[in-house]
Amino acid sequence: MAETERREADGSAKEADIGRVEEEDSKTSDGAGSGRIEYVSYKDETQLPDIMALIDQELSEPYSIFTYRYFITLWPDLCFMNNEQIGAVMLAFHEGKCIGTLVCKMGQHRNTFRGYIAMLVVVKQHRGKGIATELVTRCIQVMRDAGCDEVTLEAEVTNLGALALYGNLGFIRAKRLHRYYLNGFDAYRLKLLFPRPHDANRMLLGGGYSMDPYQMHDCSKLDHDHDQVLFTKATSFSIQVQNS
Amino acid sequence: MDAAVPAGDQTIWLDASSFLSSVCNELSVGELVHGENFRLFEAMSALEIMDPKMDAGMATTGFKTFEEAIESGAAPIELTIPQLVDVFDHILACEATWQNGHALAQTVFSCLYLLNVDRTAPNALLHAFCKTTRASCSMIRTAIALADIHEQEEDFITMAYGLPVEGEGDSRCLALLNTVEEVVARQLRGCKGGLSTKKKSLEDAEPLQDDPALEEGYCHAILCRLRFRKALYHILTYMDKPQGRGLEMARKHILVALSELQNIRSSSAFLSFGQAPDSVVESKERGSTASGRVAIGFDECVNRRLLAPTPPRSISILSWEDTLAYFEKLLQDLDRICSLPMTLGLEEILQFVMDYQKLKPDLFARARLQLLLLHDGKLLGRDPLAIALVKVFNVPQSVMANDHQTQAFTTQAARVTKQLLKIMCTNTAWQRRKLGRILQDWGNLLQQSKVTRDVSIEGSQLGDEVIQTENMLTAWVAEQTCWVVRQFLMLGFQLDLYSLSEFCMVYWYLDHVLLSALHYKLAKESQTTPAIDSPDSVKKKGKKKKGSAALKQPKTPKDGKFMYSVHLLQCYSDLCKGFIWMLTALTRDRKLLHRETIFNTEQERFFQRFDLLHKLMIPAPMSYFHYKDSTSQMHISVKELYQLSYDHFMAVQQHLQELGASAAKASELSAVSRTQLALEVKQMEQVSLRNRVALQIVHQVGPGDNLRVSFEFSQHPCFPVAVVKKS
Ligand SMILES: CC(C)(COP(=O)(O)OP(=O)(O)OC[C@H]1O[C@@H](n2cnc3c(N)ncnc32)[C@H](O)[C@@H]1OP(=O)(O)O)[C@@H](O)C(=O)NCCC(=O)NCCS
Repeated sequence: MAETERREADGSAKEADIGRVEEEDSKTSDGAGSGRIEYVSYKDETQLPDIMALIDQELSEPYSIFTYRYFITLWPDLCFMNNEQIGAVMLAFHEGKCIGTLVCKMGQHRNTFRGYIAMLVVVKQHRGKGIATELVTRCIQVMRDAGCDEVTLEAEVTNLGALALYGNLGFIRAKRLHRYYLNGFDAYRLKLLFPRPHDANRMLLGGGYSMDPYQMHDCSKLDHDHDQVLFTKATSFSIQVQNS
Repeated sequence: MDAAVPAGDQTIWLDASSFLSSVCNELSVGELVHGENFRLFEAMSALEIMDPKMDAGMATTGFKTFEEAIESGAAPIELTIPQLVDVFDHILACEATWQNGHALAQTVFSCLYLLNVDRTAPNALLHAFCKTTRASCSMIRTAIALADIHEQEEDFITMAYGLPVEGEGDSRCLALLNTVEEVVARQLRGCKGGLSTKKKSLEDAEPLQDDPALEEGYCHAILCRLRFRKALYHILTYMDKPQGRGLEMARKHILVALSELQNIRSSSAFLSFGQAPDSVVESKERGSTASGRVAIGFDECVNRRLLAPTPPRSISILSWEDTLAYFEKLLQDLDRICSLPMTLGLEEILQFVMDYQKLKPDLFARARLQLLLLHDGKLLGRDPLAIALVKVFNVPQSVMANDHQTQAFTTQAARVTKQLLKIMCTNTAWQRRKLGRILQDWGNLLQQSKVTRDVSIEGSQLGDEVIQTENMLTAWVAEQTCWVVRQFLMLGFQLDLYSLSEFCMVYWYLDHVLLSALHYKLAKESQTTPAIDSPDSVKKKGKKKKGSAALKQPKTPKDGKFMYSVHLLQCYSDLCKGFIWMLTALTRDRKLLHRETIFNTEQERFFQRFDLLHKLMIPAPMSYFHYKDSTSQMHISVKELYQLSYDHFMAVQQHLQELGASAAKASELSAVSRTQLALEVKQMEQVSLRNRVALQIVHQVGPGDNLRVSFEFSQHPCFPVAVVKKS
C-alpha cells in the first residue's frame, strides 16, 4: 500500500503521535555515553536493517521480514473496518546509533481495543539506564490516549529484567503459557488494564457497602455469613440495571 | 499446469508473467502487496525460505537423506557390544526427550536404525530392541493422542510426518526380545559358572565380545536393558486394558522395570571404565549414554524435510542422568495411577487428580490417568458420568424418574464434570486457563439447578422431594464451583502469577472462596437446606445478621466422613487470614514497600485478577471496595494487626491437629491423597511456625529499625514464609 494512502487512513493521527521526535537526557550519563538519547518513530526503509539486526541479536525467537513489515506498515483490514490494526515502531538513538527499539500495534481484539507490545530491545551497553522504561512508557501513553482498554505482551519466565520492568509499570502476570517459546521455555502473558472511570461494573460491585471486617475474617466457626454477601450482590445488581 | 487444471467453458489459460513483472516494477522499495487475509498471525507464521533460523530444512550439517547416511556407513549393522549398549542408551534418552514434547523426527527417529528396522534383522539384539522400541513409542503416541490433554506444538507433537512409527509384525517384538534375552541370560550363567563350565558354555553360546574378562559385565549391561525394554512394553499393554483390569499386572512390571533401571544405573561404572577421567566427568554431563561416549547411528538432520513447517525448535537430547531420572519418575507416577482404587467416588477422584498433579507428573502419565478415569467417556470406564452423578446427588428415585428438569440438569452436570476431569489432567499452566474458561459453565449450571420445577407432579409428597432435590443439587453445584475457583486461585501461586503486592488481595479473595466452599460442603453433607438467594430471605436475614447465622449453621457430619476436607478448608482459611493481616501490617509498617504505578492502580489489578469470578453468583462476587474496606483497619494499630495475624497462624496449628487426625481416618481417600495430606500438614505446620517467628521479630522492633521482609515459597506451594532481613 502506498505511503500517501496509509497516511490518510483513520489511524494516521494516532500513529503520528508516536512520530514526535523528542530528546531526553538519559537517566545517568556515565560510561557508555554522556550524550542524549533521542526517541524517534520509524521513518523509512533505511532504518529497517538496524531494527532487524538489533532484534535478531537479542531475542530468541526468529521473526520473518513479514512480521516487521506487519508492524511497520499500516494494514487496515479490508474486510472489517472496525477491526483495523495499527502498527508502530519506536527507536532510541544515541550519537546517531540505534541502541533500542520497540515494536507494537493496537487494534480490536474480541470486544476490547487492545495494545500489544511485540518486541523490545536495548543493546547491552545501554541497559539499566531507563531507556526501555522510557520506550515502553511512551508507547503505553500513546495507546492509552488512542483509547486502548488494555496492553498485553508475552515475556519469558526467566526474563527477570523484562518482568521487573513491566511489573513496575503495573502489568500483572495474567497467564502462564507452557513451552511458549521455541527454546522450550514458558512465557507469561502480561496485561495492563487502564482505569475506566465510568465503568459501572467495577464501581458498583458492592459499591458503597461497608462490611464489618470481623464478621468477614474472623469467622473461625464453620459458618460463613453469606447473607451479607448476598445483600451486597443484590444491591449491585439493582444499580446496574439502572445504569444500563 | 495447463494439463493439470484444464480450462473450463468460461475460462482459458493466459500467460500473466509480463503483467506481473510490470506491476512489480511499479512498486518501490518497502512497498507491499497486501492480501486481505494476511494478518499478524500469517505474518508471524510466514517463513523465509532458506534462512536457517526459520527453515528447518536448511540446517547445513549432517546428512541430507537417510540413504546418504546409510551409504556413508553411519549406521553399521555389525556393532561391537559396547557400541550396541551406547545405541540402546541413546535411544532411551531420545524417547525421554520425545515424551518431554520434542518432535519424533528429532528424537527417536534421529536413530537411523529405527528409520529402517528391517535392515537390522541380521543383528538379533539390535533388531529385537528396535522393534520393541517402535512398538512402545507407537502405543505411547496413541495413548497421548486419545487422551487429548496436550497442547499441540507446545506439549507434544502427535503428528508423525511420514515417519515409520508403525511397522508390520511389531506385535511379535516380545517373542524376539524373549529369544535374545534367553541367549544372553544363558551366556551370563556361563560366565558365572567360571572355568569348570567354560567348555560347555562355549558350545552353547557365542561370547558377546572378545575379552573374557569383560564378558560378564557386558552380559549384565545388555540383559538389564533388554529386560527394562520388555517390562516397559508389558506396562504399556496392561495399562491399556479398560476399567483398570490390567493395573495389578502393570504394577508387577513396574516393579521389574524399576529394579532393572537400578541395574542399568549401576552398570554405568563398568561401562564408563577406561574412559579418560576428565572426559568422563565432562561427558557425564552432556552425553546421553552410560559410557559417556557418543552413540553410533544417530543423525537428527536426515529427517529435516519431514519436520513441521515451522521454525525449528532447538533441541538437546536429555543427558544420561536426566534420562534415568525421567524413567524413574515416570514409573513411579504410573504406579500411583495403578494404585488408584477402582471404588473411589467422584469427590475422591477429583481430590486424587489434584493431589496427583502436585507431584508434577509428565504428560504421558497424565494421559494414562485421563484414559483410566474417562475410558469410553465413563467414570473409571464403568458408569456413564450421569449415573455416577446421580449416586453423588442422592436424589430420590421417584424424582429422578419424573422430573425432567432434574434429568436435564444431570445431563448438563455430567458434561461439565467430564470436562473438569479432563482439564484437571492437563499441564497446570493450561489447566488454569481452561478452568477460567469453564467457570461460566458452572455458573450456568447453578442457574439450571434452580429453574422452577413443576412441583405439582403426582401429589404433594413428590413435591416436597422435588424441592429437597433442588436444594441438594444447588448445594452440590455451589460446592463444586467453589472447588474450581479455589483450584483456579491456588494454581496462580504454583504458576508464580502473583506478585508480592497482589498477595494480600489474593488471600483475601481465596479466604472468601474457602469459606463459601465450607458453607456449601456442610450444607450438602448435613442435607440441611442452605439458604441461597431467594430475595425474601436476603432482605430478612440481611437485617438480623448474627441471629440468623446461628440459626442456619448446619450440623457437623457425625460419621467423620469428609471431615478431612472440612479441616483442610479451615486450615487454608486460617493461613489466608494470617497472611491478610501480616501483609496489611507490614505494608502499614513500611517493612513492605509497594511501588506506585503510573498507568493504573491496585483497583485495576484487583479487577483483572478476579474479573472471571465476578461473573459468578457463587462464590458471591466481591468488589475492590469490599477488599479495601475490610483490610484497611485504620483504627487498629500495627502492633495489634501483627497480633491478629499471629493468632490466626496459631489457630492453624489447632486445626492442623484435627486435620492430621481426620486424614488418618479417611479410609475413603486414595493412598496418594492420604500421603499428600500428611505432607501438607507438615508443610503448613512449618509455614505457621516460621511466620509466627517472623511476626515476633517485626513486632518487637521499633519503627526506626530498617527491616525488610520478603516471602519465599520454601515450605508450601501456595503459602510462603516471611524472611526478615536487616536492610
Ligand atoms: C529487558 C530490556 C529491554 C531492559 O532494558 P533496560 O533499558 O535495561 O531497562 P530499564 O533500564 O528501563 O530498566 C527498568 C527496570 O527494569 C528492571 N530491570 C532491568 N533489567 C533488569 C535485570 N537485568 N534484572 C533485574 N531487573 C531489571 C529494573 O527494575 C529497572 O527498574 P529500576 O532500575 O528502577 O529498578 C533489556 O534488558 C533487553 O533488551 N533485553 C533483551 C531483550 C528482551 O528480553 N526483551 C524483552 C522481551 S519481552
